[in-house]
Amino acid sequence: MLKNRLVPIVLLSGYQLVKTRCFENPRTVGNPIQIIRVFNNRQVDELVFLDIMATRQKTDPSYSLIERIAAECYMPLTVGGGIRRLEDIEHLLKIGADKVAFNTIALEEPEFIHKSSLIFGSQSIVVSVDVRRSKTGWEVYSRCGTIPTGKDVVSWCKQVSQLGAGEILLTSIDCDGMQQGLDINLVRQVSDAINIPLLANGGAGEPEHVVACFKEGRPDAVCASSLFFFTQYSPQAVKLKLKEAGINVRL
Amino acid sequence: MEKSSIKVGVIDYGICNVKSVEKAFLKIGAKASVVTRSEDLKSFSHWVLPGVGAFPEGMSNLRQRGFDTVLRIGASCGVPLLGICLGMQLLAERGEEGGDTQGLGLIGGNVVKLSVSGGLRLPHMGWNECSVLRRGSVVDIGIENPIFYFLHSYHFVPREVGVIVASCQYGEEFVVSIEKENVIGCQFHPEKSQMTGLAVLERFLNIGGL
Repeated sequence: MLKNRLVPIVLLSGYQLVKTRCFENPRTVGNPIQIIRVFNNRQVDELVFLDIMATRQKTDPSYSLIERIAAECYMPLTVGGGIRRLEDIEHLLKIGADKVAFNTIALEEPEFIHKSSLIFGSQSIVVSVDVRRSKTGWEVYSRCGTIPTGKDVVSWCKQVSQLGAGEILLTSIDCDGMQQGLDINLVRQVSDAINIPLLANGGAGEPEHVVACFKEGRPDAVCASSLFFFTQYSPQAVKLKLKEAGINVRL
Repeated sequence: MEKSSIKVGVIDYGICNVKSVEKAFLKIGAKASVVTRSEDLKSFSHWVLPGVGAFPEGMSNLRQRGFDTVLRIGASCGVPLLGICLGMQLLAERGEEGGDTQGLGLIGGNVVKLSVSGGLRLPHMGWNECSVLRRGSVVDIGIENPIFYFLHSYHFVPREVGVIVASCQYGEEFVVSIEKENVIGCQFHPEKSQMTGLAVLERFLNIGGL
């Protein structure tokens, strides 16, 4: 049967990879090409690459860097950050991305999800959803967690799914970089509400967090960043723990 | 065949990004190039037909560029030909996607939609393990149940059981690799399946060329 995926997620800011905490205080973790080469050598299932500067500053994706990164990957690559037009998606797929991820443009023009999935195929379209806890649940934010939208996460994710997205990348801003575990209630509520694959992101600090998320949150994939940059666990080591816990993973 | 005399032609028929496939062959040390004109294929020892997209569009693009004729001739002359994903499906006699469309007819069979139930979703997208059904085939890379990356909603139902070399389970059990002499198909993406996929491409190169 189809395997559950463990997906490293890397954030680009300028020319370096960084790691944030609650989407703030980026600290440099290294050179993009070298790090991605290591992940590829570690035989990861997939990689998500997000340019957080492009989104904040409303600039284009860094095409030449992304092309070099795609050349290092012999597994599926999702690229996001700075996507505003259909031409951006076309360009990214041409230079080697397998999937593209966007957030802000989807909130500003939901029809963009439908149009892009018709033209490029829904399998290439990932909608990124960033949320913070609110009094009534979780509120969706745009532009790298800076603009509250007033939308509830479950109803937005349902809408995204109906508009034809292939996958949802769901990130808890509150848990991001804190290494205290993922927001399992959030993941479960969204997983129960949608019928497209869900990638859960934000908060993994040790293998047990990932185990708990798969078991109780029921996403199709769990993303991790701090877990790989700031602990001794390699992707393979985490997957061995997942397998021990009875989760169906590729080894 | 000596690796130095191998030249892999990766056919670009305007339907998908072919660079990943070219790059994967370069990674395993083979000379590989993207081929956009059908008349250029004859200078390559091994031909690869990739593809992500719809059957009717795939066949239409091949015809427009003259690749359909060259592929049929080359295959009958023994050129090693590898069809990947949609490329494997186009080897069939017919495809039902978007209406009934004639394929290349290089391996008998039809392409039909995967039937899934019980909450399973289409496309079949992600890593799944395969059963190797023929020793010595390209997927026989020395692993009991190799795991590859898949991305498709349709599958090849061969006319003859004898061409089936690997199968996989997603809802139903279905064929994921076929071989008829020099013509080979892989439903999964070897260029996206890390070392396991590269090992399959390596085995494809071992098939003698012209």
